[in-house]
Amino acid sequence: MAITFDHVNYMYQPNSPFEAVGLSDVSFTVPSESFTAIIGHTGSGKSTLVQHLNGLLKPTSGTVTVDDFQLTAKTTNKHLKSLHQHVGMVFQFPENQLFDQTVERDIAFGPLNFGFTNEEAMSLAHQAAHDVGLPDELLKRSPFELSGGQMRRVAIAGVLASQPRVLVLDEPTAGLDPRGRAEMMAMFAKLKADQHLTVILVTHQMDDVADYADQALVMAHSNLIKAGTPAEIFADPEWVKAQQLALPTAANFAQHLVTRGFEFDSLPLTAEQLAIQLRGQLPKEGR
Amino acid sequence: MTKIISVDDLSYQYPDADRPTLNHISFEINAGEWVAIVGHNGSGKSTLVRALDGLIDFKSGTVTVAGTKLSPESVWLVREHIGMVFQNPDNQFVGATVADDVAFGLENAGVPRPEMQKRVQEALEAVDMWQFAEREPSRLSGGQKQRVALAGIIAMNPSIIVLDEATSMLDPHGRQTVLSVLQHLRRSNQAPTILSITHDLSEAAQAQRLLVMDNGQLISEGTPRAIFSDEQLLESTGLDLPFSTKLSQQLAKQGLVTPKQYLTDDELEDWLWQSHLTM
Amino acid sequence: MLEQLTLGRYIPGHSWLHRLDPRAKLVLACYFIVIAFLTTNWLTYVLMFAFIGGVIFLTGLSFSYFVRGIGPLIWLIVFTAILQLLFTPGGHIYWHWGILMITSTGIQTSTAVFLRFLLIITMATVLTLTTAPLAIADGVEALLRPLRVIHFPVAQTALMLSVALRFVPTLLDEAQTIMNAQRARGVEFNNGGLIKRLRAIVPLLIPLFVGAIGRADDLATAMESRGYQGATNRTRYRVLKWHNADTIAVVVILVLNVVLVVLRHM
Ligand SMILES: Nc1ncnc2c1ncn2[C@@H]1O[C@H](COP(=O)(O)OP(=O)(O)O)[C@@H](O)[C@H]1O
Ligand SMILES: Nc1ncnc2c1ncn2[C@@H]1O[C@H](COP(=O)(O)OP(=O)(O)O)[C@@H](O)[C@H]1O
Ligand SMILES: [Mg+2]
Ligand SMILES: [Mg+2]
Repeated sequence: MAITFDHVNYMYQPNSPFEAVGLSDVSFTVPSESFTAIIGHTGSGKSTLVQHLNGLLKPTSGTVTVDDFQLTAKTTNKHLKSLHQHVGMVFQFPENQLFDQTVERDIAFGPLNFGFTNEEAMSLAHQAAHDVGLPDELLKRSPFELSGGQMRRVAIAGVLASQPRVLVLDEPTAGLDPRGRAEMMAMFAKLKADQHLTVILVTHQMDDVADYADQALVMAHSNLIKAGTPAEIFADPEWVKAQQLALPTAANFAQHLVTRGFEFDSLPLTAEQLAIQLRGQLPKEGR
Repeated sequence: MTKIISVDDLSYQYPDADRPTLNHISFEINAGEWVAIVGHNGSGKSTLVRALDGLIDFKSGTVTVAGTKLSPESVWLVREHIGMVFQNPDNQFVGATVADDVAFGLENAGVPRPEMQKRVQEALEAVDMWQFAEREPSRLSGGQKQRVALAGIIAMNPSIIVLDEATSMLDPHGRQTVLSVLQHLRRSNQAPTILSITHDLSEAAQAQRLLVMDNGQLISEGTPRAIFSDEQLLESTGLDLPFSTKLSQQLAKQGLVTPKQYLTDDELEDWLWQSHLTM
Repeated sequence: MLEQLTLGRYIPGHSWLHRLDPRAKLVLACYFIVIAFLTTNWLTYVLMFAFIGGVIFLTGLSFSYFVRGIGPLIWLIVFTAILQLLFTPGGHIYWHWGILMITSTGIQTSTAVFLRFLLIITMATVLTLTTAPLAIADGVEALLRPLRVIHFPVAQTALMLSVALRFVPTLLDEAQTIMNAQRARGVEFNNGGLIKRLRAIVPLLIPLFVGAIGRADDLATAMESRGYQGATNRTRYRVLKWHNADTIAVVVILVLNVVLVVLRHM
């Protein structure tokens, strides 16, 4: 599903002493089945932006278009349900939303709300549990007995079970250990490929942006200040630093090598790209 | 060098658990040392540091902190030596404002008010948060809250600071500010012993020594260099590989020369430059 | 709707009222509420409304903010006043139906109820808008202190109250996040009949409860590690200071009281 933001503004608690700008004139387009990363410092408007994708927030002005659904200030809540179903949201620390007695029922909760029959919901739940790598023997257990990493997988399965076409992930790997992070990112990439999902990822991990994203949106002070491929976003290291952002590790390392007289056609973003660009600048093994 | 922490054959099993969380653990830490504890989630790191502070009631093994053997009678004395910062910035903020929170430990210790005011201000200045003294926690970022938590500890001047994944819920900027406070503190005349649990390799690399936990056991200890050069250990315990190692692997894939032993990122940069010059 | 409600909210600021001692504010607000019942004729109402208008001016907040803020509560006041109106006998009877009637006494008492209620709610709003929850807790503690002679755990209660207040915004945030997460999973919180709405609350309450217990556990550990051994033998960082302004505020209210009593008999 393609997504378009057209001059979207959002104001928190308008006309009160707590009034705060959430989004300011944000416009962009995300192609269907692409992987988009949203980056920016804390409080820059990333979470506000993604909550517009499934109508949890409605623009104060402007239009959000998801496939053929148009979301504006005037959209009524009745019409939001199909949007909720088609755009799955994985919030930060999603394990905090688990509540049901068994893992299976918690995962089936979304499909049941969206009008699937009990049987359909259970079969969707089993499929989703399988997709996130939860072993079958956990399905009848209480979600509160599981380890942190397993609970997070249950919560993600609970979103996938409603068969969304767009998957929004708000810092999904926060708090996991390195292996947990790597496995989870690989899992999202696989899900995207297998189920033809459009993925939107909010992250502070620039290495994940370099490894997975087709394009990135940079937020600062409620504004969208840059949009482009990761290569375009990181092309100007000075600008990146000025935005309090970091370079991917490999790009940062390559920067150092440039000062040592190495030359790169374009700034390498991953260890692999860097090694490839070092061919011809380093002696071959066994020589 | 004087030992500030000694742990001898410590074992512990949670009452409702089916297997021990800590399994015959022994190690020592020198006064003034910076030690990082690494290991996958659930390996027992938090349980271990809680045992040091007498926050779990272990039956088997001994813990000695600054010459005092931990026992129900000595637990409050031991806690005076240790300041702990936990993972979740929200759940350890006791005070209704920044200043109140920093004062909490001092109030518990019965420090007279004029002395307290002085120490609260000094501690908040040390973490660069004095201008926020009257703020409520709901109007602070995660990194700011963790710096306030550190100030609460600095004000008590303990000889040991324990950080249990204190930076893992912060964004990179917040993490950086907390780490720079720690580095600053190391150079101050307090110079506390630091014991920090972390998944972040660049954070672990700053330590003088690493303890590696796996399934309730202390499976290895050594300098960051020694641990980082053991690729098998890193992979089997679910730790990240250092970037220099990842790059060397990729260089090998491209058929290029690679260093014969583990190098830090800086050393690898030097080494690549040398090889480049020989072309 | 709830976002609009101002009663119980605090807006940080530096107005004269913000800076008054919370003990003074608590006592004076209560005092004002008591003397609001001394109003009898239109002169006394004019005086009281002029006074509260002046107080609102001193908060430094916009007048329309108060009007909008009290808006959601106005129906509660109107409802109470209408009950008074329909059930009060006495005086000339204008209309009656079964036990319901509208009488001249009824009109008088319901108007009085309406106006006094409005005065009281406005004053309570002023108090919470200009006094940080912590300061209110401190004020309450100071005022409860005499109860220590009967072994009431004043210090403990005060610490509990301040920790509880400290966690209100955190838990509200968490509730908002969980609601969003469940709405994204197809829950409709403000739709459907009573049963459906009650059922929708379960997926909100359970995670909120589980989360709060986890937080309480963490908090207890953190407090213990920081040497908390119970509320006795602690020193206090925060002490309340009585300023001249507080004395002036007390005098002003006393004068108000005297004038009120005089006007009552005019
Ligand atoms: N419920 C709210 N009420 C008022 N302001 C808010 C609310 N939520 C977020 N904001 C403000 O909106 C801005 C963007 O916040 P957010 O989208 O959460 O940023 P990010 O996810 O990038 O950290 C911030 O300045 C924040 O203070
Ligand atoms: N309060 C508790 N009750 C029972 N088991 C616990 C408790 N806390 C932790 N555990 C278990 O102990 C093991 C180690 O946990 P922990 O020390 O928190 O590990 P780490 O900090 O390395 O992630 C885990 O398997 C965990 O499930
Ligand atoms: Mg956010
Ligand atoms: Mg832990």
